[in-house]
Amino acid sequence: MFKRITGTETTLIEIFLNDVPVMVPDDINVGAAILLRSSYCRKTVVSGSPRGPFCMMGACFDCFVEINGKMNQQACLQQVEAGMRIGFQVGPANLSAEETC
Amino acid sequence: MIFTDRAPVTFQDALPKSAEVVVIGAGVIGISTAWYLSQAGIKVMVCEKGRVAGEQSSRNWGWVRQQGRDPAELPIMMESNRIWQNLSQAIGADTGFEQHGVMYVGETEADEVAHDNWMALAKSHDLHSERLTSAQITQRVPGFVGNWKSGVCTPSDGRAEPFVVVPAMAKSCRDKGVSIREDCAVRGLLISAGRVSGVATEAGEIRCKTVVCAGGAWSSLFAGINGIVFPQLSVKSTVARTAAAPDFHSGNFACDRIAIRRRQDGGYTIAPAGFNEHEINLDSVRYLRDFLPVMWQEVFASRSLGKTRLRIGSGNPGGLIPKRKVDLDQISPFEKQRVLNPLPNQSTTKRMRRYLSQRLPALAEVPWVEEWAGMIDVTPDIVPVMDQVSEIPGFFLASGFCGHGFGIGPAAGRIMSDMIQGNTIGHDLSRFRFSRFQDGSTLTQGPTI
Amino acid sequence: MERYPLVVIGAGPAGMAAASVAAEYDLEVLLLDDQASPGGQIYRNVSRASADLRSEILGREYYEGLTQVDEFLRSKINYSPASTVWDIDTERHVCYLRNNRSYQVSAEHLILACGSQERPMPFPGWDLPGVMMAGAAQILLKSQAMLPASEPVLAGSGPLLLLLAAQYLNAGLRVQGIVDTTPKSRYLESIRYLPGAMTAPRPLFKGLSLLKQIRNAGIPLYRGASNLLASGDSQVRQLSFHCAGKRHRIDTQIVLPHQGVVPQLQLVKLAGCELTYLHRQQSWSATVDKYGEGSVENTYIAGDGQQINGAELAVIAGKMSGLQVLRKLEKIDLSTFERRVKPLIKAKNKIEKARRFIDAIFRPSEELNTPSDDTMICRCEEITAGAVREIAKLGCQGPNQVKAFGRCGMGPCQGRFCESTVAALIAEVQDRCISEVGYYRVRPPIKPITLGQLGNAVIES
Repeated sequence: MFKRITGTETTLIEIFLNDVPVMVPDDINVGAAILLRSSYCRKTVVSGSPRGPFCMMGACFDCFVEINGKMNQQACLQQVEAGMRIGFQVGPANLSAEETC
Repeated sequence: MIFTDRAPVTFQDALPKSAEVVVIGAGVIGISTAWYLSQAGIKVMVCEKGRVAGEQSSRNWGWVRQQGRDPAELPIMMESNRIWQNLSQAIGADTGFEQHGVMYVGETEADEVAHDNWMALAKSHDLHSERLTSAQITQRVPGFVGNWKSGVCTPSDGRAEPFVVVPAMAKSCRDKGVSIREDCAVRGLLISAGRVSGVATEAGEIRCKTVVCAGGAWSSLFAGINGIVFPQLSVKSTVARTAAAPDFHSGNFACDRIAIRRRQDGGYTIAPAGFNEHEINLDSVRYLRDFLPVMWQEVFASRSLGKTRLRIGSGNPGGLIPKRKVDLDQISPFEKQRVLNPLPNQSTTKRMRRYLSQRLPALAEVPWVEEWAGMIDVTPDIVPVMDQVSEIPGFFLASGFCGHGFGIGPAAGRIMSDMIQGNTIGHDLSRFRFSRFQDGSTLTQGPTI
Repeated sequence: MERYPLVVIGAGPAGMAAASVAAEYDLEVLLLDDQASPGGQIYRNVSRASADLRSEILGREYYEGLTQVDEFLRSKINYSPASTVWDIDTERHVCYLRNNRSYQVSAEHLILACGSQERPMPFPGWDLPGVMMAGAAQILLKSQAMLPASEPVLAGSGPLLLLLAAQYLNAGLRVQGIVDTTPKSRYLESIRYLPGAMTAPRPLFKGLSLLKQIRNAGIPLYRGASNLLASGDSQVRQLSFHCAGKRHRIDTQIVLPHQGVVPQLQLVKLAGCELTYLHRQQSWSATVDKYGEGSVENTYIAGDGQQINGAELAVIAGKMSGLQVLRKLEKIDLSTFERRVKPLIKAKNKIEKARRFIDAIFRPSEELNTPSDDTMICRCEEITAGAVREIAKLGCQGPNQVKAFGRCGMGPCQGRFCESTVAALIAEVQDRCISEVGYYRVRPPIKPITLGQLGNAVIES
């Protein structure tokens, strides 16, 4: 849905998007990395309809994804890291006691 | 790729109780001086208030040129050029030094005269330089737009990567036993029996008989605090670099408005030729009389109607009103602002982009990735001081390189090292003596900033 | 618990100004900000953005933020980036999350400079992937150097739409059109504020020059548009709307709506400060005195997080609050205080006067405030305007009761994107004033925190 401005100086790193290895710039956040590949990142709890990042400043919580096995992570507030595993979240989050909000 | 005071500290050697020589400032001049002193087995301590090469030593254009030098600087620069050729090997790190020549081109008769003068000077020093015709210029830099009347090129001139060289030299210094400490401002000199007996730093005192001040834009403030009037002002220069681009000319070249150098990373460093800014502060007034001739030339009389823009500002070392009296136990102005990091001037960068699109439309298409600015130390006659200050025996000054210091730095370090040891220097340094500002000598201006 | 004489929350123009002025007089300041680098949303990433982005694409106002950010980074402030505040109480105890760990500090004085968020703009289809707030798209440009991969449509009202369209043009991207939902009546209504706007005319001229740039580029501007509808299956494919008596349809993959910004008041509410409804901005604002002190003593609210007045005034407000703290802590005497505050008040009055014009012309349209029944208004719990109207008809007195009845506002965003709509709908159905209808209460934590993080909290110093 989005693209990087041509000529932006950057290093690419490998992350896993729904278990598929993809190369993304190392200086962007997870929300932005998703938007390079897809317009949505989760399916809602109530109706199962697709949603994508919406406010990019941590206010709307529409960019909830699973990061390295942890669910309900705001994609727009975390930088990507090499080897990071990002999963689209479908329906309600499975939360262990450790992760309960 | 600029270093600021927020960069991590990499050199934090312990403060010795005493040293043979203390060098103030870890820029290209200070580090080169320490490097040569250590070759001679002398125990050196380098005190840097901010970061190694934090200011102009990493922010300059990266030109290593003999062409267009002041006649007295030229032989020193020729020596420096020879040092550069083996420097990577000597310090065990790649400096990025490559000899692809430096080319100046011009459209006016005044340029022709200047080029004639240069050819004569080069010939008198047996330096090979070429006179270029308009056709040769366009052949060398394809797509370079201009009604070129004349050009000169010195093939043995070169380029290097400023942000790499000085930190690499500093590491090599340390391997040779030099101590280097960042975040360590020297607040003032300790004097006994009329001569240097040590320095007071923020981390404690060091006993020493010899101190070299290579403080760049800060030298005048340091001298002033120690009771020495050193007329030196700062001008701000804005520089930019592009993303990687096709290699259409490997050498450095400049026309009336713009100066361009290819970088090791495949981009180009772009700078405005002969366009700077000076922020007026109390020092500008203090040294007004010394600088009147150069100000006249730079601000009012030049043909581009104002090569140096003036405005009042607090961006200079020591701020709007640099203090002359400091208590050695109190935080000094050097600690309050460890690395000068002036903001690049946006109207300058806009102007640069405009000239670039007129002169080199192909390069104007390439994105710019970084802009920065640096403070250049300028003397009233646009040549540096390399001398012992006679009022304070043991206090040496190597400063005021007027934006020409990066290329000449290694030789300047060799000279300072030999001067301290009392060895033969091999060059006539009378033009660079400190007393020229005090003994009523008529100052002859060197080539432009 | 660690104790600070002053804690500032937010590193935007107001927060940076407040902290810098306090540090000038050697006050020990802790500044917490949830972003990785200072500048807030307006100057987001300014210290790191590439040269092209900073000076060619984003424009002069953004670049000028560099001066303030630089000054801020040079002053002696305990600056804690990437720190998300999740609770504040009325005693000014502040809980925040940093590096997966929760900390608690106590503030003698607290300055909240939390800035603004976009005003929700519900219309049918605004929940489809491909619809994203225009401010979000601008954040992607500023902080991630990213552009829409295909030509977007901008919709709504407010200066940001023009600015973003111009910034995209600078970056070589055309927008397909700007669908301007500003009702035509607003132009007439705002004329009487025009003389006031001329006292600080810079924003006005800026707006005109943006408009000129957009017109010269030949970008269609649909004025007085209404009845927006984004459609598509799993992704937006088309935006349709009424304009000049016709239904227009634009095929597009990306729709960027915007209708101004509103203060982020979550922390203000938690701190126990009172709010005032500001009719001319159609939003709640924090109730403050001349120097930004809220209804709770020693708690200040500055900048757009208090009420929307723009970056220039945010700096002034931040400085004034900082100076007032210094005076209360006797770091400066009364004469210094007055000397420094006087010019600030003068500048403030001027800008506030000019602001009236922007408020009047960009007051959101009634239609978007109280959307059609089929429009989803609570994005988290997926509640439609119709459902809220039904609940309001039952006699629910305010947003909190509506939440209890129908889950609207109960999701993770805690009502950030439905609060104003819910209140407007209740007011519409019951024919009351929004200021009487009230607002959502907030409950900590206002940002997600795990039990693990809470268990590891650092409370003792």
